Amino acid sequence: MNRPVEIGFLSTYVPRELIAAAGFRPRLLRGLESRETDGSLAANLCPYVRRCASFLNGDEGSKLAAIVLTDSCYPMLRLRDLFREKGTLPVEMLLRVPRKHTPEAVNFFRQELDKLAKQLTSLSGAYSGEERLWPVVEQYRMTRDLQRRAADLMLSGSVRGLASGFTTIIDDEHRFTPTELQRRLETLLAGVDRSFLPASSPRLLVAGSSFLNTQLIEVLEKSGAVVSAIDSCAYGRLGTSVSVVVGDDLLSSLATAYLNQPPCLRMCHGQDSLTRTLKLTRRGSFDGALYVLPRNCTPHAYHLLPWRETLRKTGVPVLVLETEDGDWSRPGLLTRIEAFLESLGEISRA
Amino acid sequence: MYLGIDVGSLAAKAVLLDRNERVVGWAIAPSGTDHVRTVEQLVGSVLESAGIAREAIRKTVGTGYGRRNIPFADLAITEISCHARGAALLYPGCRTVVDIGGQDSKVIIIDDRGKVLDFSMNDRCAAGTGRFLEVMAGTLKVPLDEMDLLSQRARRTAKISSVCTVFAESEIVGLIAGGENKEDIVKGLCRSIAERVGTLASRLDPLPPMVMTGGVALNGAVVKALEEKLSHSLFVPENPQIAGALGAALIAHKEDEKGTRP
Repeated sequence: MNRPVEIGFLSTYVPRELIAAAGFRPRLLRGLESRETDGSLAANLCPYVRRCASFLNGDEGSKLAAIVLTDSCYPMLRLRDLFREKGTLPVEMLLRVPRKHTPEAVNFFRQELDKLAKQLTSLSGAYSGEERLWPVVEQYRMTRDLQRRAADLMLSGSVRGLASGFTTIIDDEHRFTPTELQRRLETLLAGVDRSFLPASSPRLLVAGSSFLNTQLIEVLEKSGAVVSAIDSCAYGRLGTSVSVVVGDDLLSSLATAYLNQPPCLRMCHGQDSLTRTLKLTRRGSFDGALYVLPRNCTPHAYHLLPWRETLRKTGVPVLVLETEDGDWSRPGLLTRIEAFLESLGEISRA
Repeated sequence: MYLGIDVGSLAAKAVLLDRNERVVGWAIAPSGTDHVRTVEQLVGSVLESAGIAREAIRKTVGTGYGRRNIPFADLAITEISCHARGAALLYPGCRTVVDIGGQDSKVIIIDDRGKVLDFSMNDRCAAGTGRFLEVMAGTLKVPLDEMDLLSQRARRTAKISSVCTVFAESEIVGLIAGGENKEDIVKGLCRSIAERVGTLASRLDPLPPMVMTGGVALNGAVVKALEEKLSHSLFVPENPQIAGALGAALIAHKEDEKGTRP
C-alpha cells in the first residue's frame, strides 16, 4: 500500500511551504455535503468546518498522512475533538496562532512553525532545514505573485471571464504543485479577453463567500456580466494574501508573512475585516453587487448589513443570496439572480 | 399585438395587448404538468375570445416558474420584473407590489415607472402562499371564496402559532376539536399569512402606494389582514392574477419598440 502523500489543512495560517518542503502535498480540505455530519456537529456550526468533518469521515480521509489544524477558532477545535472521539483522524498537528502581530507574537509563531516542521520531518524524514525550504518558498512566492496579478486584474472589472477561471484555479489549488499552478495562472492571464467591453455589460461585484461558489460566478458571466469576486472566507484569502519577504531566518519570514495576511474573520475585530472588505469593494466601480451569505456564518452575518448599507448609499443595488452548500441549480436562486440582472437593465434571452 | 404568458406553479395566464397597451383579451387555465400543451391551449383560447389571428402577435414574453417551457416565446423574463411592470400599469405611481401566488410570495419595491429597485421572496415554504390557504380551507371544509365573509363574522382572531403548513393544519384540527369557531380560525389564518408576508416586507423599505397581485388578492380577508400588518391600504386590481402576464405583454411591447426604433 502506498504511503499517503497529502497533508490536509483548513486554516490559511498553515504554511504550505513547510508541508511541501517535507515532501508532502498540502491539501486544503473542502469537504462534502454538510448533511452527512448531522448529529456529529451542531447544525449552526461554521458550514465550512461541517463540510470538512464529513470529508474526513469518508474514504478521502485515508489519503491523508496527517492533518494540521489551528486553534484560531472554536469550530476548528470542535472538529479536532470530533476526530479524536471518532478515532478517524490521521496524525494531527495543532498550530497555535497568536491574535496579535507584535514582535513577541511573531516569535511565538516562529516557534510554532519550528515545532510543525519537526513534526513533519518525523513523518517523512525529508525536511532537513532551510536548504529544502528555500526553493519551496521561492516557488510559492512566484505562484502568489501571479495570483495577485490575476486577482488585481479581476478586481479592475476590465476583462471578461476572468473571475470564473480564477476562482476555479483557486478552488482546485490543492491538486497542483506550485509549478503547475503557475502554468495554469499564466495560461489564464494570457487568454483573458481584453476586448472592448460594451456599456451594456454590467460590472458586478460578488462578495461574501464567493470563492466557494464558482458556479454562481459562471452563471453571472454567461449572462454577459463582468464579475469581480472578493472573499473573506478561507479560499479567497489564499495565495494573494501572503507576501514572504525573505530575511535572515526563513521561519521568521514565514511567521511574519502568515501573521500579516488579512486575518481570518474570526481572528480579528469585526470592524477591521469590514473595513478591509469595503476597501476591496471600492477598488472597482460596480453596477451591482451580490453578497453570498453562507448559512450559520457569524462573521459574514456581521458584515452583511453595514456593507450593504454602504453600497446602497453610493447607489449600488445589492442582492443577498443565502446559501447552503452552494447549490446554484435551485430555480428560486436562479430567478433571484435573473431578476437582479433584469433590474440592472439586462434582459435574459429565452 | 403583444402576448404575455405567465406559467405559474398552479395556474397559467395569458394577456394580449394592443400597441396602445390596452388589454384585448386574457385567459387563465390550470398549469398542469404539460406546460407546452397548456400554453398552446391558453393562447388559442385568448386569441379566439379576442378575435385575433396568431400572425398578429409581434412579440411574446414568457414569465413565471415555467417561463422556459414556452418554445415560441421571444424572451423569458422573471415574474418579479413582470409583476412590477404590470402593477405599475394597473396603478400608476405605485411603489410596492405584494404578490401572493399559489406557491410563492414576494414583495417588490419599484420606482414610479415600474422598474424593480429591490425585492424579497419566499419560495421555499408554502406558508404565506395560496397553497397554505387551500390546505386550510380544505381542513376547515370551507370554500375559499367564502373565507372573506366568514372572517368578517369573527369575534376574535384565533392564534395560529405554527409557521409550517403541515403543522398549522394539525393545529387547526386541534382548534376545531377544542370548540374554536371557524370564523375566528379563518381570521387567524389570514393574519398568519399577513405575518409571513409582513416579514418579507420588513427586509425592504416598502412605500405607499401599494398594490397587491396574484390570485390570493381575491381573498378580501387576506387583503384586510395585510393592510393591518403593513399599516397601509392595498390597491387590488380587478383581475390581480393576470398582473404578471400583463407585465410580460408590456415588456414584449417595449422590446418590440426597441427593435424597430431607428
